Amino acid sequence: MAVIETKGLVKTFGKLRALDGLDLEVDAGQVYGFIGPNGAGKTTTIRVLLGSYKATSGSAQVFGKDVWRESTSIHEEVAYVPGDVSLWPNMSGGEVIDFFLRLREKSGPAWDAAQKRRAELIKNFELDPTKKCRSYSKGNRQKVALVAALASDVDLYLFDEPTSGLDPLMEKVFQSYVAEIKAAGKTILLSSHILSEVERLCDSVGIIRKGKLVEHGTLAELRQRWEVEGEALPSLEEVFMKQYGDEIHISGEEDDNEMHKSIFAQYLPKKKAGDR
Amino acid sequence: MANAQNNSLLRGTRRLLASVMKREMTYSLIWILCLTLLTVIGPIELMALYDKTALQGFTQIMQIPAMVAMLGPVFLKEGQVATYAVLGANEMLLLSLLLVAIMNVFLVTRQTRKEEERGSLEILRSLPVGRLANLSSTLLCAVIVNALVSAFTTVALIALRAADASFTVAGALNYGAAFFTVGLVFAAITAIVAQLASTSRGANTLAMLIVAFFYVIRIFGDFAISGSTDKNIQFLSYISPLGLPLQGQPYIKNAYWPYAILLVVALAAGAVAFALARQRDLGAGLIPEREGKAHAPSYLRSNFGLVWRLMKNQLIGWAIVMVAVGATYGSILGVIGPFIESSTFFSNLFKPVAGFSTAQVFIALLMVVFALVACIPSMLIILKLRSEEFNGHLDWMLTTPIKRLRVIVDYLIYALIASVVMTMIAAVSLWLTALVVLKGTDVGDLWLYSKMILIYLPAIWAMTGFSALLVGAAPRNTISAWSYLGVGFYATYLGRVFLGDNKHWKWVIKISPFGWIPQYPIEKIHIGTLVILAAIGAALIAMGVASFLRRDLDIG
Repeated sequence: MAVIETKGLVKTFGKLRALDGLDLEVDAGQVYGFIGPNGAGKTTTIRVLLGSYKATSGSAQVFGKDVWRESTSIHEEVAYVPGDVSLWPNMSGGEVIDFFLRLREKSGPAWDAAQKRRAELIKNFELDPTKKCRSYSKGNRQKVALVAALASDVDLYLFDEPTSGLDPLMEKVFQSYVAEIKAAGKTILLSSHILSEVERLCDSVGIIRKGKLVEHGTLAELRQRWEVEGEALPSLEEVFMKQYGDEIHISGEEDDNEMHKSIFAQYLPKKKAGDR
Repeated sequence: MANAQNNSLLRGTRRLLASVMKREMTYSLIWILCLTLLTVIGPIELMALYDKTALQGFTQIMQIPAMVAMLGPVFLKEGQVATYAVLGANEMLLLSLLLVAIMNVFLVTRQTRKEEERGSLEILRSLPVGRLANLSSTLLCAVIVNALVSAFTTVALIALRAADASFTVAGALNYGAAFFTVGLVFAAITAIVAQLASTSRGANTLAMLIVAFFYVIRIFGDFAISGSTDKNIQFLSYISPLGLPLQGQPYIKNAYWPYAILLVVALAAGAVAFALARQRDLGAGLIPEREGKAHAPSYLRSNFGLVWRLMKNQLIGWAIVMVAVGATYGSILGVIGPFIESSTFFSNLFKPVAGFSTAQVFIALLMVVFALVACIPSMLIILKLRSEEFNGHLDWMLTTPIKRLRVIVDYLIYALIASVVMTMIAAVSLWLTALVVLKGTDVGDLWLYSKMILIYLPAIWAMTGFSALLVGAAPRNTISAWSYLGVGFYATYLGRVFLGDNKHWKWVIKISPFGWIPQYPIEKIHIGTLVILAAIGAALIAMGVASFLRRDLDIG
């Protein structure tokens, strides 16, 4: 069953077409990697899914419900970690986390469970919950959002570049929680441009370019699709660069160009070479 | 010995100064304009409202403790005749100096601690720029801005000579010198505070507390100077940089020794700031930031609780302001009767109404000021929703099972409650003070006072509705709400004073919802008008809510 399903999703901001007919399908229990460079439309997609932006046209459903009209009831089973989280400067991290947990559960066994998880997460992420949010570094702000989301027991987790600003050790802690959520049968949409992270965590991957999904499937499918005879199966990075290699332009002195070209040459789309 | 010049701690000051000036230009121009207008508007109002005899009556009002506390002592000796210039300076100088102090606090923290917090200072310091260049360029900018404020006000005051000969050039120069030196003192004090605090907010708060401290201690000193308390505590005015400059006594003595002292203090404080800045690590401060709680307070369990968490301190502050406004005007009531009778202008304006004392008639006219001030907290609450949206907090919060409708309704509930609470606080404070100063005679009961101000609620709701409409439909233009309130102030309050009964200009008063409210008890209450205003408020709120629910969040 599809937890997230969009068809021909379009979102425009003035003249800019941020989403240009996006078809996205994420099934229950999947860890779905949503990759693309900055400005490709990842965050816009997530904001439409959350009902923060109203789609210009096309349809988008989460749990089979319309994302705009039924956003509040969808949110009961969604936890979201924004890429660049903005916290109330005058509140402590602990206050923000409690506030978010209480917006879902106010008392009872679910609340106790959330508090237990909160304590564990704060310890594992090494977060000081007594500091005022204005004095947190980028990584610590990210941890506040992660703790608030991971301590919630929901069916769908939306992570928008969740590990930006985290150190490699904390990235590992995050990955272990993703594994735990996955084992519990929950669904995760992980938007990222850290390809190694996506490769490690995700079953399926969608590559977005200029507001369209240009490539999607399980990791194995993608790698086979872009296999070149006589060579080893391509990594996710190589698959990604085949989608985007033609966007890299280096200008400069002729000699330098040659050097840059030699670095990127391996990624330039070989299949399409004949077409040009 | 590779040239010492290049390693100077101040290297790059001149180039940084250009950039600081550029970033401060808009703020400074607004401040200069406002301060200049403020400086001349007092004297102009005096000249328009009072003839020479009434001026003597006004002097008596300036001498009552509430006025001395707010505006400083009256320096005229027995037998000296009050002039427009002397009383104008008496009325405006201290408040303007207070604003100059605040301007300098903002300027210095914005360019030092704030830049440090944003990280731009870190990048700057990686360039060939001296460690103290940020501070030196900021303080130089403060010198320039204060000099401009001083120059503009001086020129404006000299221009008043055209209207009245009491506005001497010597007095205007003395007046301007007060601005310059007080500004520098607070710029330098803030520069010290910026080294001590660990955050820009901490620096701002601490510096503002210092400003408030100096303003308050001089109240007691000024009481002593006015002879209403023990002479021994006069020194409190002399050690306060907001009390000392008044001793320059522009247009009376035109003394310069207070400014000389202030200048020395400013230089000394500046030197301390530089010494501290030299020692300090980037981003470090001596006063650690207060720790927060590890858990949320129990009321923080919904958006309704969040609004309280975010607005609590501000609302308490406004409640105190309302008490102060009520008490200030209340304390004038004791002397207002004889004063009004002594002035032809005022006895025309405050025509006696059967069954009411002069004091009550005076209050009826002033109620609009109370209402305008009481309107501010309600607007602040609604506009907070906009800043929550713009800062990105709302975006994240709305990803939980909270409805947008719930969110905006919560803010509206607070705004409506605040409108009632704030107006009532003012009414009670006014009534209690009136009881004391009028010694129980001719006061009227609390219900009368409540009624006088509660009839303004529909106007406040209309303004709340207008703000809500902007938040919903024109979130990038919420500043218009404040402009409209400002227009309301000029049109209604000043319009009534200056235009009075002029039939051709009466419509000006009606521009603002406040102009539609009758001046009870002089005028009769028309329930119909109030209901229509309230209905307009409700309609604007409904439109605001509807647009807020329909649009994308607009995140900065």
